[in-house]
Amino acid sequence: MARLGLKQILGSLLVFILFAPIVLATGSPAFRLAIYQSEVAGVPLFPALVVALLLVLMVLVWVFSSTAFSEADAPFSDAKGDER
Amino acid sequence: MSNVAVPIFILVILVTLAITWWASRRARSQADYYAAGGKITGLQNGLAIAGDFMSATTFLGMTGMFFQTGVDPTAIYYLCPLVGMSLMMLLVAAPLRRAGKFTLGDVMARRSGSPSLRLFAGVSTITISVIYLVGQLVGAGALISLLFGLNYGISVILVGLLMTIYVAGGGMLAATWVQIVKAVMLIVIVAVIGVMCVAKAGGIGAVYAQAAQAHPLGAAGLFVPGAGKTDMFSAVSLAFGTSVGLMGLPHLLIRFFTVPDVKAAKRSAVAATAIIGGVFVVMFGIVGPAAVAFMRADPAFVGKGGMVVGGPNMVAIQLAKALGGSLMMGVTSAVAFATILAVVSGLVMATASAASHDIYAALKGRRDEKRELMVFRLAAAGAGVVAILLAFAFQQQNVAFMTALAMGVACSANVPVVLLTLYWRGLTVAGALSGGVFGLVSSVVLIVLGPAVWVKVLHHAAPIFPSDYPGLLVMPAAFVVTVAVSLATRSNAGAAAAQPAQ
Repeated sequence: MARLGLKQILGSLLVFILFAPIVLATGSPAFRLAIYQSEVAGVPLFPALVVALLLVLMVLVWVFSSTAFSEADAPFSDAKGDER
Repeated sequence: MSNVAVPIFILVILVTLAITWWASRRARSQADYYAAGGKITGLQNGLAIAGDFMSATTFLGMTGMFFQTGVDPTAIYYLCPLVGMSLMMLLVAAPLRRAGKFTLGDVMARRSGSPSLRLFAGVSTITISVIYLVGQLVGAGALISLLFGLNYGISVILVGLLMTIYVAGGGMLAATWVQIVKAVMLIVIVAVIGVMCVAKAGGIGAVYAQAAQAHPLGAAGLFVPGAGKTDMFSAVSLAFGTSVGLMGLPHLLIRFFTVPDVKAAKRSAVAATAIIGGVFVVMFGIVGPAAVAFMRADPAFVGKGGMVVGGPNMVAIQLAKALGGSLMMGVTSAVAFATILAVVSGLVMATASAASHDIYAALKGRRDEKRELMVFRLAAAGAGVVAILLAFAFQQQNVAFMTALAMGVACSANVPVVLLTLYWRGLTVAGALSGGVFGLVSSVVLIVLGPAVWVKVLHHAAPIFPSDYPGLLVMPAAFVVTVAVSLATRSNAGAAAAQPAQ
């Protein structure tokens, strides 16, 4: 069995929190912030935010994969008595 | 038709067939066919995983979507793979690698050894992979029709034939190397197109300014979301299904079985993410807006209703023509063609191994390596035939949308069972089967009753289910069903067969 720890729960929450503004803004004008109309170096802010989020997620995947695979290549332990 | 495209297409076909011939001489055992003997290196596997992510959906479908509607809902499509990859690394990749051998069925049936669970895993893998395959074949058919003036049906059959040869002949080794070659080609061509776009416009800011002028939606409609193009349920369900669904995509998960150790698995994940992220940044940040800037107001590229010549999936190909004429178009088309061939090979691989290693073995009740490999080859051919037939029905669908459907089904059918298998001792066979079958059947039925199939394919006046993305409803329900049935069967059994886990 694998163990669901705080690391996995907080990591998953963090990813969804980062993703949420983009999804909510897509779903409803209520989440369409006024700053999305502005620009950064000639690039509209919303696409710039999406690109920035892509870069952040790249780093997060690197961190998460480092942690996930840092444990020894131990065999998956079957819980005794699971055979139902 | 592009004169340059013909020799490049033939070269791609010859190279990939040579890889298959080479792989077929090395593949002898089940392990060779199902998992490339576990001998793929981290970087090679990273390229292959990236190749699986960067399908016709990314290159053709998502560029086409940006061209039509701007960032809404395209941004979600670009972000979901990396959100899903993060979740995969956090929750699934490492324990899955330790629990599995060749297929998702190995993981699901790991604790119980139940043939019924293995059978479900096989059916679910095939359903998801075939939906995904259809999207890729639709893209292939449109591409070849555009370039060679070939009939759509003949184009689809040609690709179907090639993918069957790769997998039946060379198994996972051939599928992986075809994927690696394609990933390298795709990285190079996306980088070249990105640089050419910026150079042609005179800077990234100029790309966006020209795009805003060319598109009838203007800057506010093109680059700001929330203009009512996607309702809240569809946006959340699409995001949820497409990101969480990645954890249930069999053709991606089995890639972690092809490397020799965890070090290589980690290296593959890092390499894949760097490649996917880099390509997506260029595709979303430059190629999408540049396609609008250079083609949207040009009648040479756009016909009635703002539809690009050749159909909605041909925007990236036409952009290459706008940038570098027939030569660039020919090279880009060849890369798109290689992309499709590689991805469909991976999907046929997952389908064939599920049919032989999970379904055949479950029905037969015992392992027979020689017969399993024969079934593997027959299943590869069968998957090709079914996908070709379905590709005719779904000819007018956007390929990115078809991929989202596959992920929605994966999210509902596989993810609850995989996660609970890995993390919850209380899971019983009855619980896993009930939740899995509920998720699979409900998601497929709701997709059929939704606008994309019920209205656009089956030509009814109005959909019975209002959204094309049922994952947000079905996946939590599948979790509840799995847990409830597991609890019920644990407490009811009482006898030795249902002893609580130690």
